[in-house]
Amino acid sequence: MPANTLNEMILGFAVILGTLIAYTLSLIIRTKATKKKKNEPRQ
Amino acid sequence: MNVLKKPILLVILDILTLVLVPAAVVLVVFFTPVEAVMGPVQKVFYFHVSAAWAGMLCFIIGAVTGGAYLLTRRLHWDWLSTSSIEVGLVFALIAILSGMIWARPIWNTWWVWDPRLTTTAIMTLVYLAYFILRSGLNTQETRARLGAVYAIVAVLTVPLTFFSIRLFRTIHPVVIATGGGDGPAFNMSPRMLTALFASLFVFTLMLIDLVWHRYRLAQLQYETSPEVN
Amino acid sequence: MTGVLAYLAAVWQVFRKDIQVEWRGRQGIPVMLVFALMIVFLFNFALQLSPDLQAGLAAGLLWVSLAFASTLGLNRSISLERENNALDGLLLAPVDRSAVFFGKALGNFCFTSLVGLLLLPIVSLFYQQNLLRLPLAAVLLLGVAAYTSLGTLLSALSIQARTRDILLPVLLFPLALPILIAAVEATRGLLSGQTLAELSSWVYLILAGALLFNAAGLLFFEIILEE
Repeated sequence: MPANTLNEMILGFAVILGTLIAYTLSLIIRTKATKKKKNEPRQ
Repeated sequence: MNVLKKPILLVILDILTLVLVPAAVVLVVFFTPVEAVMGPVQKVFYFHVSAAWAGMLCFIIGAVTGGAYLLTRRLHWDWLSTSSIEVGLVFALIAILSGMIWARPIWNTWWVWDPRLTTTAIMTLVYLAYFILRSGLNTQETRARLGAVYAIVAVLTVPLTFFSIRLFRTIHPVVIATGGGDGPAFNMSPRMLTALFASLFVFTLMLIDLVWHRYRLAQLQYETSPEVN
Repeated sequence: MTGVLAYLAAVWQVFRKDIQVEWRGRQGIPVMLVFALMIVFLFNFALQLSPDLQAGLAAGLLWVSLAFASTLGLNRSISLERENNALDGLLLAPVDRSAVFFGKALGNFCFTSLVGLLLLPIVSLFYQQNLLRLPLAAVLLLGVAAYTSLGTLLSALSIQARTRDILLPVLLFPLALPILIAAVEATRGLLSGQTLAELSSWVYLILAGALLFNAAGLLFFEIILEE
């Protein structure tokens, strides 16, 4: 009889996918900010 | 060259990653057998191994492209080097966190000072220090040059981590059991093996995709303000 | 042949200069030793150590205090060169810059290992463990050689950063950890009665570290210090 570790599995995948999504978001935000800076007229 | 324009190959890679990562989750969660002792939490293992693999591959790419920078002194090698190391750090973090979640019900503790866990933690700290070093340096050229030297020295921790289960006594399970380690190897059914290879493939694709995007960001940052960056 | 001799002469000159500076100022070794002693005492209260300490704790105590104290010497060795731009003068010398690395690494090795050797009787005295053994001294020297060559290399990196005063330990400790772990394990083994032959895998790990870090110095010191 396998141990009932369903909750741990869900937590595991949540953390893995959560970290990946968080990093992807950080990439998108940083790229957006840099693009905005690039398009602003230079002072 | 307009850096804002996305190459067609990157678009294809984006779509592939966005489709294949959820597909891999579905494959692992619903189409692999439940391990007889550990139960469902064992399924974390497929992504755990893939993340560790992707992280180490990133660090190796970081060192190789660092070496390429030192030889050619062209900044785009540095962009690639620092991008791979940043993405590698994310994957290493995922490997550690998912391992801890697996260890909680199986070893009954979040963390043990096992050689494999210790060397992985050391490797992650070493690459955290890489960004601390870079943030203290003033010009793009010194960041690239000193970062490359550091990346090459730091990559020594990758084989140390990979072979730690062969060199020392460990309770960490051995997956690639050729050569024999001390740790408990566990036998995978053909379906488990297929899922593992599928995860490894998907994570490798995702690695290329993420590094590519991070590289484009570095390029964009350089073109926006070349004098400060 | 003359090339090799000229190179060794350059290493020797850099080394001699560092010894002279230390001899005249006497500011490196005493500071490191006092700092190491303070850590030895601090540990006693922080960890509630009993006098009949276990071998593992004595080994850890020795290496932790030595590793912390050594960063003071490593930082000072490179910041002395930075003051008054002495480094520029050193780099103008018509020798391969890796000779400067080996000279400074040799100096750092001597200072730290002297502190380490002085720590052996002191730890023995305060913790009723006999650390005065020849194989243990050999492990100490080998471990210090690996640690200080990596430290010399990284100090040349950290000195160029804005955060130079605090950066070296952050760079050095994680990279040196495998070597320190191996050194602690070998020391602990010796204290609990094992022979060097039984502990050979740890000794080989330290030796590999010493060789790799010196090779890195040979390859990269020139690149690190180029203008």
